[in-house]
Order: sequence, then C-alpha cells, then structure tokens
Amino acid sequence: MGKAILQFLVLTAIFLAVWFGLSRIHYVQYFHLDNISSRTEKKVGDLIIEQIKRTNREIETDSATQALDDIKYRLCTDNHINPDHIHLHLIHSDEVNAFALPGDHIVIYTGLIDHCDSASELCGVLSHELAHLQLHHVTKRLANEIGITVLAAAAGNGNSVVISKIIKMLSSTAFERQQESDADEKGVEYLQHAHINPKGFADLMLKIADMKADDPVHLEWLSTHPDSKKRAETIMGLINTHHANYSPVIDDNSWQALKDAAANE
Amino acid sequence: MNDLTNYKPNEMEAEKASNGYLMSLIALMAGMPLPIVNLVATMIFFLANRKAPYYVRWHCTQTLVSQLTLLISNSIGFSWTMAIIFGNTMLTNSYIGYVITILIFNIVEFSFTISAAIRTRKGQHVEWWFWGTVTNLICKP
Repeated sequence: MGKAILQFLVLTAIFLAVWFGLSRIHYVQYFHLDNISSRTEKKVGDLIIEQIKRTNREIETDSATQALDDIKYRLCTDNHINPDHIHLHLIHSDEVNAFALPGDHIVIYTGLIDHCDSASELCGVLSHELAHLQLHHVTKRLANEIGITVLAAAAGNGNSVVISKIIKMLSSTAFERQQESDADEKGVEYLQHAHINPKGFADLMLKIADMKADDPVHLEWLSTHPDSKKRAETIMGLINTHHANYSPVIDDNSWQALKDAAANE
Repeated sequence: MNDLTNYKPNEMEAEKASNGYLMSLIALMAGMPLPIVNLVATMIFFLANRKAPYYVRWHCTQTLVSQLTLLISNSIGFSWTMAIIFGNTMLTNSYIGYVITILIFNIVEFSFTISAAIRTRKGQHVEWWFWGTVTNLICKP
C-alpha cells in the first residue's frame, strides 16, 4: 500500500510539473487568442445596434445625418481613418451619453446634443469615443469581461441576454482609468489634426460636471467618466498651441439643424 | 512482482487479457471527447470476466484502473472546456497547458495500452508502474 501511495504521489507530482511548465508558455498572446475576430465583432455590433433601435428610435433626418457625417469625415480623414468604417447613430434619449460599440459603431444620444453649445463640444466627445475604437479598447474590454467564446456564441445565435449585458456594460460603465486617459489624449490629437478646437471638449466636461448635481439621472456620460474637472484640466494641458489654426467643423446653420433635429424628434 | 511474472497463459487467456486493453482503445475511438465511454466499456469487460482465470482478471483490472485515473483528469479538462465555451470562464494559458498535459498523458497511456495488448496476446505479463501496483492490491489469485 505504501508503495502505491508513493507512486501515486510521484505520478501526481509529474503531472503537476508538466502542467505548470506548459502553463508558463503564453499561448493566448502568441496566437492572439484574446482577439475577437473582425467578423464576430461586426456581428455583435450589428446585433447591439438592432437591440438599441428596438427600444429607442434612431434619428435619420437629412439634416442630422448630414451634420454628423460632416463631423465624422472631418475627424476621420484628417487622421487617416477611413470614415466609411465608422458608423454614427443618433438615438433619441434624454440621457446625456455617447458610447462606442464593437464593429466601429458610435451611439450618440440626443440628450448629449441638447447639452452641447457648439459643434466643437460634440466633436470632443466623438473624438474620445473614436479613440476608444481605434485603440481597440472596446474589443479588449469585451474579450476580458464577456469572453471571446461567449461573444462568438452570441454572434452566432443572437443571444439577447448577452447583447443586453454588453449594452449595459458599454453604455453605463467606464473603461479602465488608463484607457480613458489614453482615449482623452488620442481624442485631443484627433481634434488638433482636424483643426477643431479641443477646448470645446474641456468646456463640455466642466459644464456637465457643474450641472451634475442638478440632474444626476440623465448625465450618464459623466457618471461613467469620473473626475471630469481633472480630465478637463488634463485636456487643456494636452492642447498644443502650435496647432492653433482651428476652424469650425460645421457651419452654424448645420449645427442648429442638428440641434433642432435632436430636440424635435 | 506477483505470481504472474513467470506464468504462461494459454491461448484463450492471452486473447482475453489482450481484448481487455483493446476494449479501452476501441471505446476511445468511439467516445472522444467524452471521457466516460472508455471507462464504461472497460468496466463492462471487467465485469464480464470476473470469474475468468487470474491472468485475465489481473489485466482487466489493470486497464480499468488506468482508465479510472484518466477519467478524473479528462473529466476536469472536459468540464473546463465546457465552462469556457458556454460559461464566462476565460481562455487562459493555464487551461491550454492543462489540455496539452492531459493530451500527453492520454497519448502515453494509449501507447502503453497498445503495447500491453500486443504483449499480453503473446503471453507476456505486463505490469505498469503505479497501475500494476494498485492492481496487485485489488486483484488477488
């Protein structure tokens, strides 16, 4: 009996040693197993947009679409991003919120438009969300928090529970602090390359931070992006005055048309 | 070591002992990736030969014991895989390392089983390290 126990312990030790040794190899990183395939990402993104549209109306009037497209094209082309790959969706909601989704979608709620005094303020938010997409924060976060296999399964069977979970996660919780900081920095870079004044972004954050106490329920974007005043200061610090040849991203008429579309729908 | 070391089985005994090992191999082909099928097939053969000569019983017991230990490790791997595919468990380097480890152990056991099937068919006694020791404790003449 003693011999059997000893042999069992040796066998177990060999098993554990082999397992431990093989576990040291970084298979996930070497074979990029933590990357969601672009097909899965696109499919999940499409499913999310479909679900959002089922509960909230998308505003697709010519004035709104044209204004957003103009902003998108300016931000993207000056930063060597293909604008046809980025999809903006203006969704009717009182929430002051905008968020990036897999498949290069950005959702903007009409509540956010209502609270923007200028197009440059809106551009600040869009550049921030665009940065999250370009830096692959969305896909990394989904891979970490949801899991690639669950995502692939949801993409295949359209599991509404998983899709709802993703919507809630991406629309109401922030990315990691470093990712938010990186998105701010990249966003300012995008704005400056597009000759859009980044001060608008900082101003919006300060403004909404001050208003937060009055209307906490609707200020979702702010609640998911804490330390707004500090971030506004950081943004101001990132502004490179050598890029100061700013120009309006859209004219006043187009901006007003967008505001009206958001307010009237 | 036991009495079987110098025992010369007859043709029938050698064939039955060899079949015990083959039973687990055939079930392996049919049952993958379900780890339980091998064990069930081996268990059935073991029970069918409970009254067989000591040589046959011994080898049926040895292959059954080896299948039992594999069942434990393979079942853990199977459950872990299901948790990754259908649950919220993440794919990790530890999981991949575990799968490779049990794959190695299964391949080794597979090789040993084929070798034992051939050698017992020739009338040779094959006593595996650890599993042979356990079999000696369980199976008495």
